[in-house]
Amino acid sequence: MPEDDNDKVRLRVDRLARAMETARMRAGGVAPKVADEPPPLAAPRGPGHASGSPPADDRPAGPAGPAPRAEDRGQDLTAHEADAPKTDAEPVRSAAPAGQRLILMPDQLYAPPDGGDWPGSSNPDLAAEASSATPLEAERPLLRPAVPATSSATVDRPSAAPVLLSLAGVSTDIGPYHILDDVSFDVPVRGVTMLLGRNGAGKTTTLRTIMGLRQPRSGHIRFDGEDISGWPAHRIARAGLGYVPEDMGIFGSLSVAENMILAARSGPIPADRLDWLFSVFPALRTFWNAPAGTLSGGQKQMLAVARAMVERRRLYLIDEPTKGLAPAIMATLVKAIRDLKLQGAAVLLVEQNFAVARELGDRCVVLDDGRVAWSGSMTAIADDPDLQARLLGFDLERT
Amino acid sequence: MSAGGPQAPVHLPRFEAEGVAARIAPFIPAGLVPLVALVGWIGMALSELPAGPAAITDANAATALWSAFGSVFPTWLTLSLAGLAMGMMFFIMASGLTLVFGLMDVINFGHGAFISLGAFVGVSVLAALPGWTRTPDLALNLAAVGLAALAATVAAGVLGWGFERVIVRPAYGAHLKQILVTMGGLIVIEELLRVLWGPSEIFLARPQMLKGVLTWGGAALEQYRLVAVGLGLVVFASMSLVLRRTRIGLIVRAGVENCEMVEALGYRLSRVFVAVFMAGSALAGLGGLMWALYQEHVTAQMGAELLVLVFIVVIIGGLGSVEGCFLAALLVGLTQNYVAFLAPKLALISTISLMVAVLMWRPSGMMPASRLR
Repeated sequence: MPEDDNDKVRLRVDRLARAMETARMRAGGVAPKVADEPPPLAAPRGPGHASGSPPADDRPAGPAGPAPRAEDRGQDLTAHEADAPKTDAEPVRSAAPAGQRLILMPDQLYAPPDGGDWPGSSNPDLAAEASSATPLEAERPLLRPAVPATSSATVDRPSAAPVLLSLAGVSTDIGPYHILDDVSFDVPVRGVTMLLGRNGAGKTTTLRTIMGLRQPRSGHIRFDGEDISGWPAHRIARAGLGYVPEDMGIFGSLSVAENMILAARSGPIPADRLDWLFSVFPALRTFWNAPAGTLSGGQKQMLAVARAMVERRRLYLIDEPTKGLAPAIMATLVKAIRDLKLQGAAVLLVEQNFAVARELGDRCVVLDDGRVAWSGSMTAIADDPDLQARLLGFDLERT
Repeated sequence: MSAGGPQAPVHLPRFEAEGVAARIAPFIPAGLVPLVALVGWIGMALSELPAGPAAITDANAATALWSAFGSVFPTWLTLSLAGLAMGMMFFIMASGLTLVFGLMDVINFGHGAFISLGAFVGVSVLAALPGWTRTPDLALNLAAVGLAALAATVAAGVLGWGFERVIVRPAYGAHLKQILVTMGGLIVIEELLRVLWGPSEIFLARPQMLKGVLTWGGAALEQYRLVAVGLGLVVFASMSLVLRRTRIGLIVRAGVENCEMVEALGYRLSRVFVAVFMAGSALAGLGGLMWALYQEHVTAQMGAELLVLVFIVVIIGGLGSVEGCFLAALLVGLTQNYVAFLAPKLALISTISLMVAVLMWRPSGMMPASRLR
């Protein structure tokens, strides 16, 4: 455990150093590459954000569309882990003036509670863990950007961030029903993309289609530049996708340990990975040798998420992880997904709980009746009650 | 809401002491085997009483019963060994079927064909080695049987591979179609066996050293039955080991529960399917040879006849469970032997009655694989 702590502290120090380095470079007049700007990922968040600076990165001046992808892929996609120096500087690439960048990153510099001493490994008490995780309510004011969002014009805005997964005109049928109709959106190479929509909008089918568990009738799905539509599920999984299905997909007659071992395809679970998972989900350690079928609903959900995370994947597809969970467990899952984001992974998250969505999301895609009704940055929709009411049928502010 | 956010109540799991019933429930299937053996012994002792079971009310009933227990012991031991040996052979034949059923959701009536083929191939190998089987040399005898077993498993495994590819694969997910095509496959293969080996049944003699009888405590214990029990235990132990301790075993057990999720974890289940199907067919072939040596004759329809018993074993055990299949096979073997001794007229319905009783107690079999889903 001491080694692990050192690693974590070192990681954060590294990250800070890199961030400062980048800030210094920018201040020194080095022009940032437009294509490197991941607009929604570095959406202005902190209270220190200068009110006068518009979120210019929402409107990239550079070439739109897929052009920047190819060159960035070599740089970003191959080094998607947190230990890749150049990619980790990304959190500071916001559009704010250089001098303010460091205080803009409370989220990106997110450290485990207690400043690096992960409590979970020595403390199996789930409630304590949960209460030390970032509470949803308290953070809410921080999510307000200082600038009014311009949401209405953001539909289908091409993202300038490197794209990891892109759906182009995907239509999927289940029996005689057309569930997805010409769905197109991109998932950037890192950060959390929310997939929102009413019940029956096609969110789960979208994830299942990406995972290869349903074959699309038409359209193409590209992952890391390769067309994966039509691939069998096991091949898609091996390309680097982790999947948490809506029904959790727990193997009830296998023990918790066996569920996890099965998910670790490349061999034994690395000790540091397991320590991290135990710290996030202490219940897993408590019930390590119990049959997974005897776990409670929340514990099963945690196992399902932890199982998908047992090895590093480039993209995690997570289907409604907080469904039916108590707030304490919800906070645990939020923390886990945020850790994933910090590890440099991409997450495509289906979520009905809008508070969780605005807490975690960087980008947002709204499905309605099998079509993409809107896509843009999470802050844009989080701060536009009218848009929420129109797209999702509710209004967070007025209810 | 306070600054600390939602305060969850502190809760730790509390482990209540389970009731006796809940604690012994998982062990009941295993306990049924000795229970049936005990009931068989008691039944035999009662039938041995000079005045029949009614004599129990007599004053000296206790001593009479006690001596009856002693006097029937050798017979009981012989019958129990016969039952266990039969059970082991049923298990070897049925274990593949239960995994194929559980993992691939395929009802394979063609399984009987592998039993017959294994018997024919194995017996042919033995017939081709008269010098090895007729001399009373244990090493040579065992080598001949081993060679025959190898040929039987390989032949049945290869047939299984072809059967999966040609007959079963187009019928995945369609139960009615599976029943029809696999039943058709069974008939075709059975007739092909008649074409190749002739229509009449083949009689054979077991190798010399496997014919003998050991006597222990007054009981006659056939050597071949001891070998069959030993072989059955070895197969069961190695299957359990593979299923519990290896990754492929994990994949199979997980696949029995939820194929789709195993695929989504990155495993190519179709290959595992084929491997399991082949292994199951190979074991059926081995079981067929063992049965042929036990009965000392082979017919083309033996597979189809045994298939009924094999299905009963799979259903009693619970679909997809190797442990359940093992215990169910032993129960069926023991019950058949005791009932055939005590009430020969009831022997025909004993197995079915056992199945009915078990299903009334546990409607999805003793220990179905997906009980905790």
